[in-house]
Amino acid sequence: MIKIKHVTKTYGHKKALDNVSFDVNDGEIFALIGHNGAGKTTLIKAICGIHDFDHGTILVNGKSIKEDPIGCKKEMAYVPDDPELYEDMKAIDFINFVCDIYDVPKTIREQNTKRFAEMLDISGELSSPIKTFSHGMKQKIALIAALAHEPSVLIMDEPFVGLDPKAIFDMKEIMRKMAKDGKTIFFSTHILDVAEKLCSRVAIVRGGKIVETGSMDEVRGDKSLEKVFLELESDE
Amino acid sequence: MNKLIPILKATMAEGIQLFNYRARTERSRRLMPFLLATLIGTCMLFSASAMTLEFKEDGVAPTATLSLYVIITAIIIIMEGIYKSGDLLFSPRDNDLLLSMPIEKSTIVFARIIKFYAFEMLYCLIFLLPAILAYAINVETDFFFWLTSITMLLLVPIVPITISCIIGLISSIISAKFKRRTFLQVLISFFFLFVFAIMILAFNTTSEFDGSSVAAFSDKIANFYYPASAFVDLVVNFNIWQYLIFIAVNLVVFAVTVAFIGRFYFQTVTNLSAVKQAEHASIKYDFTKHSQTFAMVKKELTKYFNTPVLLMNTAIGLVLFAVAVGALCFNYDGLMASLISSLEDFPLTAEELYFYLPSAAFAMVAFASLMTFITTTMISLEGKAFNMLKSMPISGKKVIMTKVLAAMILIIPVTAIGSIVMAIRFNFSILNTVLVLMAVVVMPLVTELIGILIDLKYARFDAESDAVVVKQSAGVLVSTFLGLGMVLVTISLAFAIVFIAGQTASLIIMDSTFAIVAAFLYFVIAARGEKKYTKLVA
Repeated sequence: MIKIKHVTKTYGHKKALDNVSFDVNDGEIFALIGHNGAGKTTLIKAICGIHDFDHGTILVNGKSIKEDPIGCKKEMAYVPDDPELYEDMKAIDFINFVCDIYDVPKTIREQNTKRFAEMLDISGELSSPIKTFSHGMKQKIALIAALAHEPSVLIMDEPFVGLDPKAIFDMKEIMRKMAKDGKTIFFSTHILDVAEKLCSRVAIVRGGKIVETGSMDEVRGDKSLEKVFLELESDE
Repeated sequence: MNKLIPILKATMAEGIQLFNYRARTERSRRLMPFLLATLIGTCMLFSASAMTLEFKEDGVAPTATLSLYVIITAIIIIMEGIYKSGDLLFSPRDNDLLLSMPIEKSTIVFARIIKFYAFEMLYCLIFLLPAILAYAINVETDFFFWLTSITMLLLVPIVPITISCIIGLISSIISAKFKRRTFLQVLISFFFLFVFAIMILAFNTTSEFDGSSVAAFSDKIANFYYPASAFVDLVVNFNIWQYLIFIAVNLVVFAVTVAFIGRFYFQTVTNLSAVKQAEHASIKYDFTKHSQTFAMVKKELTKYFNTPVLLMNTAIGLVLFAVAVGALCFNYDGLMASLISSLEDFPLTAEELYFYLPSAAFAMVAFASLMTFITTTMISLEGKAFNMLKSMPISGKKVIMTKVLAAMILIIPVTAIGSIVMAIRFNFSILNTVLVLMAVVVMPLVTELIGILIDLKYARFDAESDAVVVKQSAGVLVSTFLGLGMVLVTISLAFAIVFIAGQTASLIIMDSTFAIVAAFLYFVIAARGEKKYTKLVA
């Protein structure tokens, strides 16, 4: 579970996040929607402890990212939008590196790596250096590394960008399965169709503020999510 | 031309940014160490040039100094450029973007080489400018001297850069054909460096360092290296035609190089980025669990051995150390005889020199350790992957200390083996051996702790290639000058104490001082490093 309370972050005079508050519950797939520069990546980086924020609290499974960053990070996994991994490493070495940092036992990492690599159709490439991979392949490796330690909270920034249709389908299946197992999935996206079909709840962010949040039915009413989003954007 | 200027602006701005802070208000603070370091270096070499000019009292023409510093600048640019040119020319991260645009390949090459040139100008400012100023102080000069000197200052990097770029091209073309490209690039760069070093040694520079040898060396240079001879000729007797020919030769060399590299550029970039996949038949993956420290150190070592420019940049001190140990152990008598005969007033006999070998070993360890700042770039080289590392459950302090540990793992085996070999060959006492081995540990510890603090302060994650981080960042510049200063102070202090309090006392005092400094730096990192680390975002 993620609890975000009154989070504010400024860059100079610009408020990148302005009093942002919402919760993401266990078993939920939650999408953060917004235009470029709305504050999605800033919020995700704040949740993951990549950068600091000025005010407010962020709790992941009850642990504060400010007060207990290591404990908090143990609960979650992060898949960045631009999967700049350690290019000189082989894919398998990168996965093992992440697993070592998360202290994952041998049997669990082996079982999960094989399972997700096969599912994402990349098991034959694990011994290749990451620098030889395409964007989509890197994204898959980042996802396998994130899932190998069985996080209870999965945070992804634009996870579907650069993936082929089969990989997008597989990723959605993985997310559904995790949510069914009671885990928390939180991601940002531009692809409203995917958000509409996949998510139980959404938040729309604009200019660093949450302008709409709730279950999919609450947010869209009898309209499409795209229409709601565009209406909110034109309100400015 | 209308396309060239925006490309130049874009590529240059990216490079210059590495010296700046993001916030404009912090800019001057950020630039200050860079300016300070340049100032110190320039002053240092200005004095060196002034001292060299004193040789004129021994009958050396002042112009000999000028040609000497032209060749010193050229040698440094070539040796430096050999291993970074391939990376700078062919592997920048904006290659895909530029190649997708309607721009001539030669325009891209031109922009890359100009950027290379701009940074190599730094060496002209540090080495050649002081020599020119010292000459002007010692000799009456006229307008034509300044015209020639300023022109020379601008043109000196061209020939060395041309040589470096051609070598970079050869290295990239050959290595692109193989799967183990990095290893090959290192090997080829070392080969050219070795060939180049042999060529320099062929000038027989080991003769006595007096006035006549400087003059003889300069004469040899002037005969061999056209820019140096042309410069001297123009300073002595300015001739407008010779001046124009001098400019034309340099510009033609530059244009031909751009055209030549442009011809192979696209194919080389394509080959370098071609995917060479591993064989997948019956692969058995290893899932053995390791500690966080092991995983981090392994990651750092993988990065180190896969980054030719970093490897070459930091291995030079260690290679020189190994060569010096080998030379001392295998040809001690010859070296000592040469040293004593070359310095007329040398105060020590061969037997006394033998006694002071533990201090010499300490000095060699100091040189190798204090000049090898590996950690200065370790955070910056994380690039955008740094964000992912920060999202993982590992403390900033642990990340920092594992980087220091990895650097020490790279340095200590070389200096430890060298010291032990010297201790055995020259029968050091057990106490002196232990003290030299203590230096082997504490010195790189201090260097790498300072290095990581510098990178925490100056870290930038947006460099267009690893070569830019390793060769052209503020942190590297600061650490280079700091290393030079530390070597000078440490060795001078160690030998001063030897003559006051004795050799063992000197080693104890120096080791203890470094241990105290290391402990202090550790506490600084423990107290402030985590905070600095937390604030860094890629």
